Amino acid sequence: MELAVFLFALADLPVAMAGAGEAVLGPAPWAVLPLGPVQVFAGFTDPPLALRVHFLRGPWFSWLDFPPPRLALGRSPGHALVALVREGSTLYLSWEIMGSPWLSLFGSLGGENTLGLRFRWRKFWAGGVIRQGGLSLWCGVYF
Amino acid sequence: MVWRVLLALVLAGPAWAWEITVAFTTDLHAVASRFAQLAPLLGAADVILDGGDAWEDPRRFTDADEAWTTMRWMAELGYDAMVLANHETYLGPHLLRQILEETPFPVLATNLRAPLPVRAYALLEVKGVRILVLGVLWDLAVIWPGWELVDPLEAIQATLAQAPEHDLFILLGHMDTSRAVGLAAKLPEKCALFILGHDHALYAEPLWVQGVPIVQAGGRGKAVGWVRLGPEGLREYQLKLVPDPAALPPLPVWPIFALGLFLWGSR
Repeated sequence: MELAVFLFALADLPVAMAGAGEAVLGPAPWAVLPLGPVQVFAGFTDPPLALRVHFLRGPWFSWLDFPPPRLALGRSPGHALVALVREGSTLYLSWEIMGSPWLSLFGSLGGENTLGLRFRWRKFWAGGVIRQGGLSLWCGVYF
Repeated sequence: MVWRVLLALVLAGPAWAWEITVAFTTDLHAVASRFAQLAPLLGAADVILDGGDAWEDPRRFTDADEAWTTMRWMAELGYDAMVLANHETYLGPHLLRQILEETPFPVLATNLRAPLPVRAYALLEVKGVRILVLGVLWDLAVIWPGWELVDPLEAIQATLAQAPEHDLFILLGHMDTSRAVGLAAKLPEKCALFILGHDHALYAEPLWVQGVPIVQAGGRGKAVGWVRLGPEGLREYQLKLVPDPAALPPLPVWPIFALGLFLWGSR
């Protein structure tokens, strides 16, 4: 899984569960455009375009990404966001814990083991992700 | 001299004559099985308020239907206002917006900047008394993309500076007790009542902080708080325990079944 696709699919639960829009700058820029129950992913990556269709929008959350088919089931059990994501027979546990309104810790377990930190200020965020032994820095804006 | 005293008493009459009864719930957590027992305890009050965490309960995996049912029960019973709290935010911004759009009473979030139909304050008029109600939340809320949670004290100060004239100020707060105590001590205008939710604590007596009575009525419909307020402030506070509360519904089986299906065949 390419880095930007990984961030879209597993490391951005607030945007995934809210169905929000976002533009992200970093080693591989990408954006998500919300169109009702659909989010359109576009980035300088493979695939350059992807769709996310939302089925459940609270308090249970479920969505399908494609390509490739990737099914997610999430919930906010307290001040954290958790989702099980399934791609073929590979299972991921994606999570984000809100330490405060300005700081959260996120990551994934299973098919990808990663850890990230996100600082938020109003509609902006900046953070870092440790994946496969390397650190990458990102920032984004919600819309 | 006697005439002056009598005249002063007559002029002051409307100010000391009024009395408002307030009933309130805190941390209901969509406990529909206890609504029938709560209704008679709440219905007789002049004002009914809620301290937040009313529409969701992750311990029982409550779903959207239970959030809607609770909101509609509150509306039918005549709730006058509630504060948005952390468990309401767990519903997600889409469902929460849908429910808020249908909620006929004000849902207060004085310190939340979000594209939601919530209000910074409500002005209720009861028996000719103008009651200003503010509601702030803090701990454990999920701040969704595009939302901003500002410091409760700053938001209260800004809102009070612009609020309409009022005879009585009631604050709804959803945060842990230590933070509420700090907030009550710094309020620029002392409120007659601070209804606190979040800790699920049953306050047999108000917690007084520099003249501000903080009250809380437990969680999951175990009790109703009952207050009499007059121009001088709190006259009486009672915690009315729900007699023989109905058992909470069992955990639903379907999420476990759905989880099993989801995990089946994974490696």
